[in-house]
Amino acid sequence: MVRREGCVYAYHDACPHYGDTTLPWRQDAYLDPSGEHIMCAAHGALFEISTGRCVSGPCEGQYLTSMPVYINDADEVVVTLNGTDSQIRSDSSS
Amino acid sequence: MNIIGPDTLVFGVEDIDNCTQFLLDYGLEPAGNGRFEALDGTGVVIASKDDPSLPAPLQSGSMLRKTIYGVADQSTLAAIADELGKDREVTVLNDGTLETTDDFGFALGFQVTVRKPLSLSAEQVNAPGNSPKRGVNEVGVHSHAEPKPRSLSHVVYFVPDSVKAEAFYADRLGFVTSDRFTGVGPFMRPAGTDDHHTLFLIQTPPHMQGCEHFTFHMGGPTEVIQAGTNMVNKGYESFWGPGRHIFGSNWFWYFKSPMGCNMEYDADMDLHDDQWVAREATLGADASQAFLLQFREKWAPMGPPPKTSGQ
Repeated sequence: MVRREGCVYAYHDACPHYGDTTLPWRQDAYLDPSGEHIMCAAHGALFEISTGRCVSGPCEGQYLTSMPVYINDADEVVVTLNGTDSQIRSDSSS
Repeated sequence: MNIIGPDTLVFGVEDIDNCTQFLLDYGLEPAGNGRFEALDGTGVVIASKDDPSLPAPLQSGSMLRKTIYGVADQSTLAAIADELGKDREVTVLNDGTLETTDDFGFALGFQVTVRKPLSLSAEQVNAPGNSPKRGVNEVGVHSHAEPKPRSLSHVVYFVPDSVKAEAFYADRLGFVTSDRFTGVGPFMRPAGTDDHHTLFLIQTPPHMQGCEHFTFHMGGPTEVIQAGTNMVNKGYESFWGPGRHIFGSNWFWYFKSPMGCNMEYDADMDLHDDQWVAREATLGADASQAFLLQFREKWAPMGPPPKTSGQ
């Protein structure tokens, strides 16, 4: 999950290059050094945070798989995994 | 051409602090000026991507900026300068090393090798039918071991035309193809080593040109897996492995890195000479590995006895 400019985005942690490998080089290291893109460390693929579209790298033009996410009335961030809502963070402002 | 293998890989990066920590945790020793070394003095250099002393980056933005090969002697350096000087600029840098590019723009360096001779035992294995390899009362494993990489093993390039790239390394620098994945590319070894490969070329679309991975030799499979386990325990993320390749027979474990490519541990690679006839296979999961294991957290079949009814 990435929060950017007041919006929250959630993607499945799998690079579309091979489809079966996770993105970060270290736990939770999902962004490139500039913080502008989601990055797959395996071969340096960069993805737009807001769309999940690969803009550079082996899977250019392909997309991360997005997950439905919303902020509920209690100001909690909720992501839907396998059709079931899961509360990921208790406070969307933190 | 008596080229031994890669001495140094030079990366130009944005995030020097994280690359430094990653290479230290991988097990390389800091040698100053962004250089990190294995036990034999081969290694990796991390510099700022804007460092003016680095060769120009590839268009793809690959962070690998130069592959510096170690050669046997000055006469080999002179022969390389003569050969490559026929159709491209070969610069002699202030430190006496050569700098040029291959046919696709990968920056290459050549120097009299920095490799120090190592005198270390490999992993010793006892087995029925063979005389003991590890002495009586010598234990085989230490649970908190932090094995050190011994020597820079190989580098793997994504190239736009693996046939043309293979021809460059074969015809101009004397590399020999040990094995090949059909339509993908060759595993190649230079004349100064018996290692199955120090270079593997993978054909990809041009926008992917760059470094797929690089790796250091470890002392045996136990060292590969213990070093990899240490990386997992420090929060680093496995890409592929541990397992054992078929071409080269090397044990492997790949980790993603902040250098925008994978960094591997390998061990126990096959050695070949001119009697060897290159094999060819179609790339796929079956041809890539004899077996593939997957890390899981330590676990043991123990715990309280199961509850029985009435208790």
